[in-house]
Amino acid sequence: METDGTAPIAILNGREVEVRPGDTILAAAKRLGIDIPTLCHHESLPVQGGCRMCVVYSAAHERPLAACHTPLEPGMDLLTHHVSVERLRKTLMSLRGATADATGFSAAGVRYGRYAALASLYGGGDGGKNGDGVSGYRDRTHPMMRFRGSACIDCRLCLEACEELAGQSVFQLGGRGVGATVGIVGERTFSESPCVACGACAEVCPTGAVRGSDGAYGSLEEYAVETVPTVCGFCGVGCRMEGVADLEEGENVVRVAGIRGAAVNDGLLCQRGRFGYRFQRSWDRLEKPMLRQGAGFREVSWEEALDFLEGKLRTVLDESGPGAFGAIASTRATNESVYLLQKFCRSVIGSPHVDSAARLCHVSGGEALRRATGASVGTGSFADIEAARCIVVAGANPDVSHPVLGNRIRRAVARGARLVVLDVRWTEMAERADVFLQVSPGTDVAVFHALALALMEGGHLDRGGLLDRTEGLKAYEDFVAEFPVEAVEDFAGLRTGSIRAAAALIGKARERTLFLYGLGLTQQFHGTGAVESLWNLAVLAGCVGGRGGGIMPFGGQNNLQGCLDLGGATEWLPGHYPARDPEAVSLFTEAWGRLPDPESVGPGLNSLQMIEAAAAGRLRALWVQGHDLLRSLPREDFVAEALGKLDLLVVQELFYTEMCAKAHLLLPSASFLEQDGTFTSAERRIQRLAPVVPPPGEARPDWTPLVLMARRLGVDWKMLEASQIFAEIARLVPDLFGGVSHARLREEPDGLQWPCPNADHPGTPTLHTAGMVTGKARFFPVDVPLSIEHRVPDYPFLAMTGRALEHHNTGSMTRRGPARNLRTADTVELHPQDAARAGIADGARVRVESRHGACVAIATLTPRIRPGALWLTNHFPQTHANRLFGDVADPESGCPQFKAVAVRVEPAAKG
Amino acid sequence: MPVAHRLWREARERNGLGDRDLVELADRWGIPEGRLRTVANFYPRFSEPDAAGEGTAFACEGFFCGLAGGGRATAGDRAFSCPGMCDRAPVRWHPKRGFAAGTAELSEPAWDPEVELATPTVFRLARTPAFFTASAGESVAGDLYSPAFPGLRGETLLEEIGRLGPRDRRNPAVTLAERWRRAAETAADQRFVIAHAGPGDPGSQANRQLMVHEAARLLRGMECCGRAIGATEGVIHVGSENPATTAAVEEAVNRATAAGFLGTSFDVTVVPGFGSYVGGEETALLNAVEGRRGEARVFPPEPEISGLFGRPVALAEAETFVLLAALGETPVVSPATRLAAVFGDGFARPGLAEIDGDTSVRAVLEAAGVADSAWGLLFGGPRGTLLLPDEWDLLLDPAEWVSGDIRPGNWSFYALTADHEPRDVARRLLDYAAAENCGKCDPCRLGTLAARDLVKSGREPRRFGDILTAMEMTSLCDFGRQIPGPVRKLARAFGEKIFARA
Repeated sequence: METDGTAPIAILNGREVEVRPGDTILAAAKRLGIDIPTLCHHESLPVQGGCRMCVVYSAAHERPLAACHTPLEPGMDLLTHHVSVERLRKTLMSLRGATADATGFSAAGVRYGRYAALASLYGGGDGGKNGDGVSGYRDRTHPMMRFRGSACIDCRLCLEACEELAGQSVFQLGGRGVGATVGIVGERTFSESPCVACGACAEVCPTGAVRGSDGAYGSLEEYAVETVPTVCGFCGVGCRMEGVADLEEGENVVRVAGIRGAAVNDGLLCQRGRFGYRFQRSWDRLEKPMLRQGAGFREVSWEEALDFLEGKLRTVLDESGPGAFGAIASTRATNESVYLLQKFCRSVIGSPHVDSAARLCHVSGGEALRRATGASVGTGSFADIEAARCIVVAGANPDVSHPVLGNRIRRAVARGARLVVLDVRWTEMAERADVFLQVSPGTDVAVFHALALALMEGGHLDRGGLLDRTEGLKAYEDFVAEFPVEAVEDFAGLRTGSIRAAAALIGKARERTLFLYGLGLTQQFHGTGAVESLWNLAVLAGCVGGRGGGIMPFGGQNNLQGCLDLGGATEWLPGHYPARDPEAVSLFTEAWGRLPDPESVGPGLNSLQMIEAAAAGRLRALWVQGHDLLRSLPREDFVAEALGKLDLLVVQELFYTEMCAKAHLLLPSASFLEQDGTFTSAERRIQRLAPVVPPPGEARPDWTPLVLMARRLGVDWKMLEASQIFAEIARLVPDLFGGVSHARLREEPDGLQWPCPNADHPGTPTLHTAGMVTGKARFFPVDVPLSIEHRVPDYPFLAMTGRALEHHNTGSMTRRGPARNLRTADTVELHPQDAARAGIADGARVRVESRHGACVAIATLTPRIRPGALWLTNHFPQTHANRLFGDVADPESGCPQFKAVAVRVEPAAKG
Repeated sequence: MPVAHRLWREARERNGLGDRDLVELADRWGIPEGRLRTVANFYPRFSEPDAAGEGTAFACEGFFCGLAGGGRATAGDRAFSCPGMCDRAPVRWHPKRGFAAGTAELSEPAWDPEVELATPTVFRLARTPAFFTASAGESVAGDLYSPAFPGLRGETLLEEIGRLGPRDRRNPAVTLAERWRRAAETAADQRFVIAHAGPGDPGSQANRQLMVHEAARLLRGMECCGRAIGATEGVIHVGSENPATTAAVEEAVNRATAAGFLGTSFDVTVVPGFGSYVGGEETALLNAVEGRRGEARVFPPEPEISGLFGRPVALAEAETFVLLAALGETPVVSPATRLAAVFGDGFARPGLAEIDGDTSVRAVLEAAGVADSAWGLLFGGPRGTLLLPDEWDLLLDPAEWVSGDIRPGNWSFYALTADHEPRDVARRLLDYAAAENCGKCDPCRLGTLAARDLVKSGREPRRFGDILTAMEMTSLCDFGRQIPGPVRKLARAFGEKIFARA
């Protein structure tokens, strides 16, 4: 160890080690690469001090010192493997076998992990008296989690991980002495417990007593296997994970684990991230291009597929011009694939009709923030969660949709942050809230205005300061005066006083208030207005541009942000340049050689408009990247009809989804576990993924056929690797991405938050620190009428769709993993009072009918939902939940209203 | 209110907490069910249906009651952690009727609510009596509550206490001043003084007597300690299985508050215990006071640095504070004065012995009339020292115990006589330790069981030694480190009687 001669020194096994503040012997030993045995220690968890395997010898002390919790002191001279402590370790390891009669312990099934490693050194792997280890309590009730009491050494790491890391409480301790056993709460099973199957407990288990149903337990560091660090491909949090391929073929992912120390998730994953990977080796992956033949498909070579594609494209273009082509990108595809798809559409074909799945969720919030700040993105980082004094969660249930963030919020609340939740449902997050505003659907804007009024009336704000940094305050004050607090509480169905209580919390935290919003706000007729009116509160609080404050979306998909950043919406070019901005047009024309000619192709169409155009025969060819339009757009039957009219529907997919039946050509995609590239999370964090395994069969990353097709159409695209595509993006939009490259992202695995203009720039966690590009902050006096879905005669309920913990969006990935056994059908939540009136029993099949269509789901009666509202999950194709929805969409952004449709309910007919 | 104390309140109101109660309370209190159960499970009394009602009796399953032939007499009896009535062993307890003592009472207990407070004989073997010299019944409030070492505070007071030299009762290698100075020197917004009755074993008998009959001195000693370390909050921890003691202490606190001694610069709260906490281990006591599982904590940091709710504490048995007050009154009192329980059938005249550094073990034994057949003395309870007859000239002055072989434990005296088999004593010691340990660390939790099984089987003395060594060397707290002492000495002295088949 190199020291500068002044630092205090201790000696470990004859080697000098610097004594650092807060150092334990164990930490110092780790720095020297000395491995001190431990069973109950984990770096991320509170010290247990129970196993005593870490004792080290010191001549100066009466007894050996426990390395895990004894502070290293200057002058200590320690031997970690002195014969005396080695003998103690042998005795300690022998105790479990010796007491197996009382504890039921058996090492028989413990073949891997930390316990097995120590047993090979010190004994204790002999299985005790229970022989084969089949005795004792076993829990195999849960599709993802397993518990085997006989292998448990009661080290308590699972309990600590569950409580400290996951913020849940699934485990309990028994009595004292030998009765101080670890078990599942109330001696129940995982499936009866509040377990959310994040797997944090299994990751720390030294014996595999707690393990995933994939058999995984313990830290990957303890296994001599090659791991590939990558990024989770489910939601927009951007958790870093590492994957392991099977040893035999190297083609299947057999385990994933969170990466400890990762900026976003610090080792945590959620159920989807931890167990969802099993879609990757599902038997029904698309592995070859498939060409429509009659009513079915036949496998073809890539060559034949591209020949077909080229022919069809040329025909459509020759006959109808570039405006007959459209492209829809996937928010789960990589930045590189999204970028190339829109570039292909705009520059190779010359069509402005490019869009993405972002249209269905966050485009309205993006539009609101663009108007407010000039940048259509959240203003801060997830790290603001920990720094905030008050967190406002509006229209989102992160415990379910973004569990790792939900967990971070809960931990922040446990440490003293205040929490305000606004939702129609009494969500898991609402349980922890200081103030819960259970609004009735569609009343959120009025509530935000009343909150603003209460903030101003409550004397929480410094008006002088506000006048300095905002414009239009007086007009806004006059405007919100029209929203008297009590009247709005009455209108929104809130408890009297709750708005003022929430305002008091925001008023106290002021610039340390973090506003987080989700689809509950954006998927409305007034989605843009809802986020604008939330923005007003952020301006009043003064929280934009500082640490611990801001306004942020919960990006639903892993690369939703990247999709919007790179032109995955018809109104935006890459880098958030407006598509009609003359300066941008000249810039991109120069770079790409061509842009759509507005004179000949007209204005760009969004996804919903493309469907209309297809139905009308104006759009003839559509290229869709990993996005099941049939399952995610409203008016399912209309979409099906429109798709049926296309001359060419090419779909890049992992699986044969519902929409594939309408396609002419299916191109097999590589999943996020099988390709190189980048994702941009909801906090603008660009992170690099890496292939854990090769794609199955002939599946390819989504960008590769685009390159080949561009070449066939006479544009010589030279990209051979994803990194070259990103380099092009960085050159094209240097202000935002100039400093980002695949090479740098390998060096900086936690990624870079754009803007990152040059190679020395550290990235930008907080935007608008020096004010908005639009100048002073402005207010949006938006007054929105209730949508036409409100107060519809004969349709007394307002239904909305949402997400369950177990599945992800259309469920095409999660339904192919163990989650399929955890949740097997879509459910509709309704209030017991409403159910009683409609004669619906819990668990009954219910027919939900709107003016647009009907669907059937299983009723869940719960007081969590407001009377008069229905909440429907939408993960199973057979439900056809989207048949309920008509063409109500936010006129500002085009985002459909999934959060309110007038319905009636009745028990479903038998059969 | 801490979780355990809320549970205790509910347990009394609901006549024991069942499965449903815990689910409901977790929901009502907003505490995750697992976390609530983790606390509730540690204290079996919370789930006892008769915790506050009529009916079933509780049988002490402590070490001395076991040796005296106690245990559950009827199928309906419930196990009960030691209430510190070892001088009456074997005892049974009834929530409404009090204690019943003695083997003869097992089937037909004679319940006596008074027995808890009954004052035993006191032998004054110390040169200057320090205890029971002022009666708590005196109503001369001015005298009763005049502060000890008036006018001194902080370092000056610590220096004075250091000069007089009283030592820690359990660990006499350290002086009180040394321990308390660390609490005083640790930066904190709040500090605490905690007085407790010691472990639920005979040591608590002496402490309980002092809590009841020397309450004023106890409070004065605590206040004095508070001044020394800069604490304004005191806590007295009394087991709920000693209701009469609890009532007496609460009454004393109320009187002192009414007299103006408490309530201005120093406050005292009486906090109940719910079954003994790991044989008097200090960090476990802190957890119990905080309403957590009464488990040992990992240390360092020591309680003087990070004790109650993370704040520094000065923590001692009641006797220590009473002695401190006495030292403040009478300079001739020896700082080595102790109150020791002398009990068991091995003595003709059991009682409490007031001793000091000049008292020898033999003097105590003779004063109490030790049986002729005594072959050993268990000095200090299960975690103390086994003294064989050739060691009985030992002076009870910790300064003399250079070798460190003598551990005074709770300073009690129990004679092992012809009625006791060495092997039975060893087995019961380990039985007790296996049942009483907190379960936090493996050597204590599993080692006690494994060693007990070896004594039962009478085989593998070498392995037995290894296990005891592992317990002594690696246990988290003093409980596991000290249990092997008497056991090992028994095995050394009477090896062939314990490991017959060795």
